[in-house]
Amino acid sequence: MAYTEEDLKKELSVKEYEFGFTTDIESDKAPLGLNEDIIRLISTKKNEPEWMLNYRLKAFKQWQKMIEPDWAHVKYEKPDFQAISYYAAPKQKKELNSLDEVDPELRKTMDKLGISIEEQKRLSGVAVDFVMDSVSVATSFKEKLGELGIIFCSFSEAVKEHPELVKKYMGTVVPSSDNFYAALNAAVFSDGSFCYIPKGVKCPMELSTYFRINEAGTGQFERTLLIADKGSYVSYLEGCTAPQRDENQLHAAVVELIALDDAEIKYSTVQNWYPGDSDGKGGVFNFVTKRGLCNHGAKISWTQVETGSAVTWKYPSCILKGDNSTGEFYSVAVTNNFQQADTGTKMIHIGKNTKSTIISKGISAGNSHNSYRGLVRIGSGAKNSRNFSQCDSLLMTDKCGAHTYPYIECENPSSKIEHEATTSKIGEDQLFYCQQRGISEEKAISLIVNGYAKDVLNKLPMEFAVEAQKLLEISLEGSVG
Amino acid sequence: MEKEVLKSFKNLTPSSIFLSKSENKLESLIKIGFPNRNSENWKYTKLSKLFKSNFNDPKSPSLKVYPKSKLPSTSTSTIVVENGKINTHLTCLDNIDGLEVALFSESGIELASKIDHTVSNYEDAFTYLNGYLLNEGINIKVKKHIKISQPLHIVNVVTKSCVAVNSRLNIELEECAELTVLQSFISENSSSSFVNHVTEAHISENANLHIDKLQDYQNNYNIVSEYINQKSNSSFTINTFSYSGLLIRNGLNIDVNGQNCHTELNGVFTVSENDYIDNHTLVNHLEPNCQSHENYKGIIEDEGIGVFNGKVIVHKDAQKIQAYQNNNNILLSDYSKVFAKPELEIFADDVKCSHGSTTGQLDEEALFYLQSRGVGLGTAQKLLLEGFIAEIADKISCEKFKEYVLGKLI
Repeated sequence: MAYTEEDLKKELSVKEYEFGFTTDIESDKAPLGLNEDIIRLISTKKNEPEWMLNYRLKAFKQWQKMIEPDWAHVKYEKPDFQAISYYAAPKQKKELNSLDEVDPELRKTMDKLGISIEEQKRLSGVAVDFVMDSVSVATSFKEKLGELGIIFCSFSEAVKEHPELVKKYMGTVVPSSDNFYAALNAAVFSDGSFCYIPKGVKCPMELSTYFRINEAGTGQFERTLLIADKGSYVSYLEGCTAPQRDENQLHAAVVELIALDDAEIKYSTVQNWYPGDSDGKGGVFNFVTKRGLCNHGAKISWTQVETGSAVTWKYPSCILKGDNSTGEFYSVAVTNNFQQADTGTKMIHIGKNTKSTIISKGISAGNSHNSYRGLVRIGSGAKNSRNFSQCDSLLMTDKCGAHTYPYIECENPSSKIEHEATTSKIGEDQLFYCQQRGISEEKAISLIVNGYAKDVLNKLPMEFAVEAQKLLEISLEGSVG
Repeated sequence: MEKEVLKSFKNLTPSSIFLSKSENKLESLIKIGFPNRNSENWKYTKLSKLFKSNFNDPKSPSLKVYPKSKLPSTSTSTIVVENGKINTHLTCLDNIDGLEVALFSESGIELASKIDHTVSNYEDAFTYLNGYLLNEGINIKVKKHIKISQPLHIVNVVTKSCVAVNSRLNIELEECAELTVLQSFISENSSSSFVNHVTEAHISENANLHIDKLQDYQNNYNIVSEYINQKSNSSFTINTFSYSGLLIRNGLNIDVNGQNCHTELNGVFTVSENDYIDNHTLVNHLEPNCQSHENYKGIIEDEGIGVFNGKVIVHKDAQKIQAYQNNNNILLSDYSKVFAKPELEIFADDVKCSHGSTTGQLDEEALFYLQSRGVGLGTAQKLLLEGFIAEIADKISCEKFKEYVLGKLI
């Protein structure tokens, strides 16, 4: 029988089917290293338009000229940027058959956090029964949001579906040349979230709820762009309290918030990435650039609970450009073992009658180092502006460190700035009192720490506040000897 | 390289005092170079004008040129350093038991081995420059158990324009000794000169050193670097009053090397016209059970720029430290600026440290109240500002000096 063209086609199609999966994986993983070709490859893989590619290339050129900064109070081995693969299809995680196969330590933590069994399965990669209503919940959410005209999708989707919005706002708050890691992110960002709230719309739900259900491995170079149009309101929650075991060591994300006139954005973060083991080996480097721009009468509020990552280096900031705008920053940063955190905020007052509030609570335990570094700048045009900052540090052991580096700059005589900071350890008398009333030492510490961090925890969306409290407890477990 | 670094100072002759040492200083200076705005500790300091200048040697002191009547009178022992050299006509030193005053130029090489112990813990370009170009230094020593009741007044006056003066003060207090030093940095008929001064003090166990310092340099540049070493149970207080200067920078570095020490740093800076006044302080708590208090107040008007950068480091195992830092600033004009950076670096857990910083303006209600009682606006402002700095001015030990300082400030 002659070998016809038909046969060849048939054979090829079968072959493709047979090996399709494998070939896909191979072609979807870029070789190690970073150069223009890799960036072109990423862009092609994601079917991006020409302008997006140009944006990436421009950022890459700027990045090449930059030097990795080292001013932060953290010590770590600098990542080798040529030893990272900058594009990989979402990893097919090995599916586990039941929760029994999950690392018992991980499960213990999740139980303590009070995460439901179904969610535990999802988080730890156990095969989940898809009849479970998470998908339908997600879909119904999406419908509801769609009705209001709210756009909430992945960044790549937004590039395709809403290029005009992305083009208009991307890079306006964090330009690609802003800093070393922001430039790197602009050149190679994998994916992220995009959110647009139309004029006058009050987003009916915490965007977190949806996000938590639908969160997929967005990769190590995430990019978030959130635009709240005039008079709108949105509350957005990023991350979750469950411990995240991530194989990527370096995370360099960029978050841009734009609050147009009279809009309000509430952005909450709970970060609990792998902090490394108790000897300080491994762990995630979290180098994030987060910044929001407030137009006239707008308000941006950052709330963060940071307990994870080996090295955290981030400063969620507000540029108060419009008159009467408000910026807020509430942070709890806990470091234990060999973790290091250099975090804080920048409040740049440009418009008149602008207000900002900074409440930062640092807790250091073990051998860790926790620094607050913040800038308050009131420009000469920012008449009648007001800032209040409070940065407290709590020390749990004699081997850890707590540092405060505030930068306070004032250029006009009608503004007021107040800054205060304290550093101390947990009062022995407080501990003694609790213990004498029959509360165990560990419980007593968590009680005191939670009271100490209450100002910030209160700002978290309800359901997260409870988990965050437990998270603090777990993070500090065994930290006092 | 050398030429580039020393561009503004190329006309100056290297110091003949401690010659072997000054060569080392030049090497160190070239190695680290002068700071610029990228140096974290100098990010607010505008040095460009200083480096654009071309300074000359002050040459020999112009004896008797400076009339005594223009000196701040404190009716105590006074040493007058004019353009870097001792003015013997104006200097009057009572003979006090247990107090030894010597000049670097007249001391033998044995003095060289006694100085720079604390200075060498730090790397500072202007201190190296001071060592390389040193015009004259004064060495003051107070012997064991001697308490000098009368303050010692040291006047540093510049009477020439476009000169660079490198002076030095060395204080050594033996055990249980006590001394109060008044320092006046003033200028007369001079502009665009640069006074680069270094003070080093060693305070032995149970000793007590008090310094009151006034800076009124008008259109001149002034950089003062202080290096203090405190031993157990000692006490150190410095009150800095900076009134005027094109560029004034005070760099206070204190190593607390013993237990139960008391350290107090206070300051008032009033910045007007287009002056620039910068106060940097660093308290290094190396030993447990110590206290440090810091309080700086700034009044900034016209196009003045004021800077406060305070840093407290509590080293590992330095438990039971209490460190307080306070900084208040008042801005009086649309073009005035203030930059504050109160820092804490804590490596021990059983400590109580805090800092506070505020920037604002005179209380309108208080002003209104005074005006409603018939006090004119100008007087009312003056009253409030006096009240603002009174807390610190009250700490001046010598009444006459206090009058003199207050007369300048308000």
